[in-house]
Amino acid sequence: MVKCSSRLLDDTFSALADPTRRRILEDLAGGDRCVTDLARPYAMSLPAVSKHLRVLERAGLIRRRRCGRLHSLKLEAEPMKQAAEWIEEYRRFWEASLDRLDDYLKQLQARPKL
Amino acid sequence: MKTLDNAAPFPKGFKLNVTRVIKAPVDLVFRAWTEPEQLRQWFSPDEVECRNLTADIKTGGAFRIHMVSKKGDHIAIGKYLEIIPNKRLQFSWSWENYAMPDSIVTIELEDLGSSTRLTLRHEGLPDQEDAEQHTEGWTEIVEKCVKRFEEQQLTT
Repeated sequence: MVKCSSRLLDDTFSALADPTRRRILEDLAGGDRCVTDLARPYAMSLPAVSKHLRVLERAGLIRRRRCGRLHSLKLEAEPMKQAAEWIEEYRRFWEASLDRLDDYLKQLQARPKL
Repeated sequence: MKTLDNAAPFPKGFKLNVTRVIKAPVDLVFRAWTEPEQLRQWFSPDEVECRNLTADIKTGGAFRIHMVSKKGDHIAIGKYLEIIPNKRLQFSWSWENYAMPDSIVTIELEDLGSSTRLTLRHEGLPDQEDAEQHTEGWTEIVEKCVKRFEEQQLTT
């Protein structure tokens, strides 16, 4: 088990555990946004949204850039890709096990009945 | 095929769904999952050897599956939570070598006559928001984000 990537994944998963943060990430997947535009759809105060943004920044999922007075936010793909890889491993594990189940039952049914 | 190389603690609120139509009647499928002698024969993917499997198939019974891949030993352990013949099998799932919270695997079987629709759901323990809002699993969002990000990369 690769320990350091496990900690990165932990941060990613904690960040993803919140539905507001998930929607923020989905928004940013469509392109960079400034903070006020990003916060607009949410029925919560700007400080509350900022709190979520800080969690995402600490997890390395988003990056903040200053363009003059505006802060623009950008999705960082690398941690998401790691999370996607992790999900894929489990998916592959189960899919492959079910492949084996399929083959096994095919063989079982092909045997002459006693 | 890479499997189980980065076994990390199972995150809360995580849901993974796999669905398959298996060309066998539901009772055969159910028995393949609930008879240890049968489980030993098919469980675990090709590049992973199933070295030892013990299972006490009853509610509250424990199982232990010792798998070996190129990267080492992976021992899955858990307890059976619910067993409804030909319909549903649910068990907790975690790894013996790693200290981590349990996850839950639920297998639902749908009788399609000579075939069976099998739906396997693997989920982390629900987090607070999950329980309150019944939010969908976030696997789709991760996959969506990565996909859209990669599409963006192609157009810039």
